[in-house]
Amino acid sequence: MIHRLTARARGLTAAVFAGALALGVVPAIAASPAASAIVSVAEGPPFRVIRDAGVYAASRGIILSPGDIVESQPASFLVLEIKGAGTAALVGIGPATRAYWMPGRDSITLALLEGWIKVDTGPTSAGPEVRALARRLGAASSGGVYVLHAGADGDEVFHESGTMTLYTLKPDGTATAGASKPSEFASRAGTSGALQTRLGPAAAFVAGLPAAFRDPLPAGLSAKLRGGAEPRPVRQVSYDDLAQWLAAPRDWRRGFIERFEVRLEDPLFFRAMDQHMSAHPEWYRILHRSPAASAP
Amino acid sequence: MKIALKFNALLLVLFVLVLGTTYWIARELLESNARAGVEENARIMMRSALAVRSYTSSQIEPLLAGQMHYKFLPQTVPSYAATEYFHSLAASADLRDYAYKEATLNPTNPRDRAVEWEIDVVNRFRQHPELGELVGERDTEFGKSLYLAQPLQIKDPACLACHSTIAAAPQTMTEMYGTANGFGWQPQEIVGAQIVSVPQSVAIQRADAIVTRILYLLAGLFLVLFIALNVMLTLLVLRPMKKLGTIADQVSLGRMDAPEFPAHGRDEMAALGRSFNRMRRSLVEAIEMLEK
Repeated sequence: MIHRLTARARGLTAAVFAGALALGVVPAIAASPAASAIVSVAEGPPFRVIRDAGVYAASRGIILSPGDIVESQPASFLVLEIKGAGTAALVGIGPATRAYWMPGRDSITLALLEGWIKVDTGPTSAGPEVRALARRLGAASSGGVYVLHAGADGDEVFHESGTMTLYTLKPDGTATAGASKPSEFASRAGTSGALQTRLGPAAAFVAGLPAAFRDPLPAGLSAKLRGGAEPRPVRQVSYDDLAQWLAAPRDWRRGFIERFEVRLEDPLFFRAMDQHMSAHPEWYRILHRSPAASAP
Repeated sequence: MKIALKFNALLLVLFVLVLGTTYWIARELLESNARAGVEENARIMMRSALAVRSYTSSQIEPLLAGQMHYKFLPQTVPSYAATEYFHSLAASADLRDYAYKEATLNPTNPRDRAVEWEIDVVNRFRQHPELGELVGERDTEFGKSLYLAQPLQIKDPACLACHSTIAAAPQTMTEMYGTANGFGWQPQEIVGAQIVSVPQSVAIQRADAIVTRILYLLAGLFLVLFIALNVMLTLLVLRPMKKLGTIADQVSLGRMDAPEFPAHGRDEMAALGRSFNRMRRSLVEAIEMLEK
C-alpha cells in the first residue's frame, strides 16, 4: 500500500513537473558546478538531448551536464567544450551518434552506444581527463587526442597524439586499462573478440571517419556565443527512445531506475518494459512490486 | 677601267666588309642578350619554386597536420608542391619545354629520381659543397636547353622525420610510398638538386631572326646609298668630265667654234670648267697672234 501511494505521489509529481516543463515554467536544470559542457558547434539538423525523463530538441549554445544523453542525426557534427579545472576539453560528436554523460564518476565519462566520438584534451596534461567507453573498447586522456568508434560489430580506437589510456571492456561494463602510444590503432570485434592493435588507422576506419574528425576540433568558439540557449522540450521519453540504453552494459545503467521510473505511469511504457524484461531484469522488482508476481 | 667601275667595286667591297662586321657583332650581342634573358627566366623560376616550398611548409602543412594522422597528404610536402606547380605551368603548349625537378639520388617519390645528367649535377654538388649554383647547357629533343641547379641539402632536422629510418617515418607515408626508397638521409647531406630547365633555342632563334632583319635593312640601305652615290657621281663628276673631254677634243682638232664649257657654281668642276675656258681663250688668242 505504501509502495503504491509512494509510486502514485511520485507519478503525480512527475506529471506536474512534466506539465510545468512543457509550459516552460520550470527552467532547464543548471549544469553541475564540477563540470559542464557547452555545445559550441552544431552542424546539420537539430540534435536531441534526453534529460531526466524528457526528450528535448537542442541546438548550438545549450549547456550539457552529467546525466544528459546526446543523440545526433545523420550528417550532424557537434563539438562540446567541457570546462573543468580551469581548462577545456573538446569532444566531437559525429553523425548518428548516441552518447551518455555518465554522472557520479571520478572523471568526465561518456558512454558511447553507437557512432563516433573524438576527444581532444589539449597538448599538456593540465586539462580534465575525458573517458569515452563503448561496449568493447574505451579510452581516456587528459593530454591527448583520440577517436572512438562504436559499430554494430566492433569498436575501434585511434590514438592520434599525446597520452592516452586504452580500456578493454567486459560485458558488465567494467574495464581493464592498458598502455597506448601515439598513432596506435586498436580494434575489437564481436562480443568478446581479442584486442587487435597496429600502427596507423585501418583503411576501413579512415573511410568511415567523419570528415570533420580529420582536422583538429575547433576550439574557443563558445566565446562567440552570446548567451546559453535552452533546449526545447518535445515530449516524455518512450520505450523506443530508451530500449538500447536499457540493454546497455549494466554499469552504464546505474541510476536509470530512479530516473525513468516515473515513466511507468504511462501504460504503453509499462507494457513495453514488461515485454522486454529480459534485457533489463533489474526493473522487475519495480514493475512487479507484489510478492505474488512470478519471477521471469 | 672606268672611274665608275672602280668606284663601285670599291664601294661594294666596303659594303661587304661593313655588312659582315655588323652581322658578326650584332649576332654576338643579341645571342648573348638572349642567353642572359634565358638565364634570368631560369632564376625567376627557381625563386618561384623556393617561394612555393616556403608557402607550403609555413602555411599549408600546419593546416593539414591533423589530417596527416589519417592519410598522408603529399600536398604538405614542399618539394611535391613546387613540382606540381611547375607541372601545371608546363601543361600549356607554349611552356612545355620548361621544367622543374628536385632530382634526388634516393627519393621517396620515384618520379624525383635523378637521371644520368642530373646524377652528374648532384655529384658535382656533393664533391664541391661550396658550390651554390651550377649553370649549363645541354641538347634536348627540343633543342638547346639551359639548366640552373642548386643543391638540396638536409639543413632542417624536420626533414629527417620522414627520411631517416622506416620506423621513424609516419605510417601513412610508408603505406603510400612503400619502404624501399627515401630513407637513410643524413643531416647536412646533399641528397639532390633543384634543377630548372629553360629552352634556349627559341630565344636564340629569335635573336638570329633579329640579326637577319638588321642585315636585310642594312643591305637595303646600302643599295639605296649605292644608287644615290652612283647618280651623284654621274651627275656631278662623270657627265661634266665627259663634256669637258668632248670640248677639249674639238678644240684640239682646230674647231675653235666649239661651245665653251658651261661653268656654273662654285664647286671644283665649275672651277675646272672656268680654268679650261680661260686656257682655251688664251690658246685662241695665241693662235690668232701667230697667224698675224
